[in-house]
This record gives sequence, C-alpha cells and structure tokens, in this order.
Amino acid sequence: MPFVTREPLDLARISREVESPAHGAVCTFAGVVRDHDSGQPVVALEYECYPEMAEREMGRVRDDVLARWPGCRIALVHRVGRLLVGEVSVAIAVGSPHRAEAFEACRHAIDTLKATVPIWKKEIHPDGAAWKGNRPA
Amino acid sequence: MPAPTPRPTIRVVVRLFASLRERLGTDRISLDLPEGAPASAVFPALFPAEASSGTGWPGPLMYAVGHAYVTAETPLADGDEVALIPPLGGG
Repeated sequence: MPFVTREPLDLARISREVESPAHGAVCTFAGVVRDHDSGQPVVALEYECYPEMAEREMGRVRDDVLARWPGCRIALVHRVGRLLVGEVSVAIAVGSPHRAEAFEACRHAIDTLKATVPIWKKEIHPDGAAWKGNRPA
Repeated sequence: MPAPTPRPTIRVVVRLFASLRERLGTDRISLDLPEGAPASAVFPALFPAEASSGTGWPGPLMYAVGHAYVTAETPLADGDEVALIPPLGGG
C-alpha cells in the first residue's frame, strides 16, 4: 500500500494491517480536518506533497519506529488533495505486545511525520486561503 | 586581450511546492548555476526580490537533492534534482 494517497482513509482497515496474535495492544491515531485554526474558521484543507520524497520519508518514519520498538508493527498513510472538515488526513496504527510501546511509538510516528515528510497544507477560509506550517511538537 | 574563460555552469532541475510553486506559477524549473553553487543558492536565483527584501517569506527553508534532505551548504552537481522545502504542513 502506498504511504500517500488521494483516496479517503479507512482507519479500521489500516488498523487490521498491524494485527498479530503476539500483540496485546493496538494504538491508532487519526489526524482530522478541524473547522478552525487560531480563531479563524476553516472550511477545508488542501494538502500537496513531493510524491517521490514523501514516500521515502514515510518509509523512514516506519523504519525508525521498527528500530526503536522491536516487536511492534506499524502502518501509516497520509491523504492529499482537498479535504473537508471532519475528514481524516493521516492515519497511523501501531500494534505491540504491551500498551506503553504502542502509545509511545504512535506518538513518535506522528511527531516525526509532521517534522520530516514533505507535505504541505493550505487552509481554505470562507474569505481566502493561506499556507500553514506546522508548529514544533 | 584574451577573452575571459567562461565560468563553468551546472544545470539543475528545481522542484517547487506550496507557496513557492504558486508564486512562480510552475512546480518544476530548470536553473543554471555556477559550478560549486550550494543548495542555498537556488532561492535567491529564483526569487531575487524576496531574497533581498528579507521579508522571511516563505519561512525557514530546507533543501533536498535526489529526494533526500541536505544541508544548505551542500554543493550541487550538474543534473541534480533540487527541492526547496518550505515549512511542512503534514499531519
């Protein structure tokens, strides 16, 4: 499965990818388009990526998690294109033997993704639009 | 007087995204630079007004060559694909 897609994300399907009888925990994270930012109403987000490099950097996030938390499994997908309020922009699932590693690895994965994967978002407001960079974690 | 030796140049392909893409109206442009030019030479070459005005637009840049991050000082080579990476917005 590619790491970046224009199709709607299915968190349940992504979660199933990390299933294992050795796992006692699955932690999932969904980034969702919010209807406001810094007090300003938001009607949609337009995501774009550097396709070749985004795939590579998403793979590095996965490999980093697998190296730090051996025994985990991870699946992560980011959506690009125009997303409306309530739609899922990024989905991550981590399965692990115990819950602590699943929570830690999932948090690490989203924080690293936001800092390293070449994806950009434009906020669409009722009366305009603006490119928005991520704040440090 | 002998003619000056032409300064050797390299040709790179620059990939542009987000605000940079919109400002230039294209997502890909070919650029000639002096041999040995660093990755940081690309922004002032393509956006001279913005680079000299010091407005800070579009925010701190990162650079990639061949789909991998490099430092601003990394020398470019003929045929490189260089990307200017404005502040990220994934997640």
